[in-house]
Amino acid sequence: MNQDEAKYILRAFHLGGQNLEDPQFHEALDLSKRDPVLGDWFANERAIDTRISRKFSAFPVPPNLKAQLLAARKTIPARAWWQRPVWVSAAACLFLLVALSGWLLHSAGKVQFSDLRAFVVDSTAQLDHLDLSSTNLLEVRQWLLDRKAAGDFAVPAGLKGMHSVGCRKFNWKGQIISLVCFKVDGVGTVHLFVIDRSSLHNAPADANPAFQVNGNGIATASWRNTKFVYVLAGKLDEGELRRLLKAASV
Amino acid sequence: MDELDYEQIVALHHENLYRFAFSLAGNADDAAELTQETYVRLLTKGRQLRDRTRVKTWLFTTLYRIFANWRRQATRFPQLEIVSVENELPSIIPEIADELDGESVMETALELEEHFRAPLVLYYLQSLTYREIAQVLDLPIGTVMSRLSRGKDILRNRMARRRVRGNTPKANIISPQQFIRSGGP
Repeated sequence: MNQDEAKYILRAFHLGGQNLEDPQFHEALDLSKRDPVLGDWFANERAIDTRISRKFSAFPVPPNLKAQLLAARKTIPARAWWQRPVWVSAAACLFLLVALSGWLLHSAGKVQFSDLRAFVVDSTAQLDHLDLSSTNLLEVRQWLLDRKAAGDFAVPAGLKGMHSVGCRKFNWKGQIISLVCFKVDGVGTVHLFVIDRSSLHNAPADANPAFQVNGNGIATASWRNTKFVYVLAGKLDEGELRRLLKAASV
Repeated sequence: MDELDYEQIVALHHENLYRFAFSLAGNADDAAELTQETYVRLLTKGRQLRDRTRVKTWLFTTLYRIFANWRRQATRFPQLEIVSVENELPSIIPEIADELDGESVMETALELEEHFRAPLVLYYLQSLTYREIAQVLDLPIGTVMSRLSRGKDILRNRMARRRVRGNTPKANIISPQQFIRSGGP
């Protein structure tokens, strides 16, 4: 190994010394101890890198970020994976069996997706209030989860970063529906309705949005994921809705 | 590490995750959202992680993949990053770094091409070794070493220039999320 090869390797040496046991560095470190020129170069490199590292570590972090992240734990109801004892898994299997039996009984109470879409259109046209006004989506999720409504829904990528306006919980035909409203620059307010997928007959076939424009000027896009059925609605034309979702990975 | 719970994982890693996110996205809103989305995935999909000692690498990998997904969604739009590589690199003395604050150094890093910026920031945050950086960025180890070596030269050169010129305008970077929000060109 010559001096240039050693320099190349040593430039990747961890500033905290976590590479000390890595054989990749043994020869280069040995050479830096025997070659004074290389040793001086390495000492200067580490001096520069240590200072730059301190600067990156001093880059300010929003003071409320930690609190928001901790709040997310309350939003996501499931216990963390590392806290689940084995017997919980067994209990979960038993629960699934019971739930399956319940599902068979409950399936008779399912509603048609076409009825849901009609409900969404009517609700969007006549929406007169929200149960919670909040621009904090974590707070919105928590509020819905506290009321046994869908709160752990996936926000379409096209709506991420948009401010939520608030939310509302509907009890409709024995089913619970979450509504979350978002303010979209240049478009206005759009309404995301979320319902448990198992509550519906003839739910959307996949995650690709299906669009529909209704006579009263309300456009809808509907899709599903493994857990929920989503209907996004607003007083906008289909093109605007498509543009809004075109970047969305729903 | 056995007794780490979510709060401890947040306390241990959220600051450097945010800083890495900022270096990718270039703005505070997207950086916070990237960090939040990463922790939401830890809560919802963390069971994929069987080895608890790999939480840190998992978090950085997940954050980078989320960002990469955002960027893919914006690939129809032009890349707006500044692309420039210097041929002649002046030497830098350690004291130059002392004359810039954290925000100036981050702004300087944001002027670099992302393929230099991402491994460099991970290196300087001291959270990961070069092997872990390779894993997070899904790159061969040799590529990471090459980009660290070259990226350091470019970053230091830019820092020296910034110091000579005084504070320079912020890099003209628009993140994929910002571009999506703006409705494109």
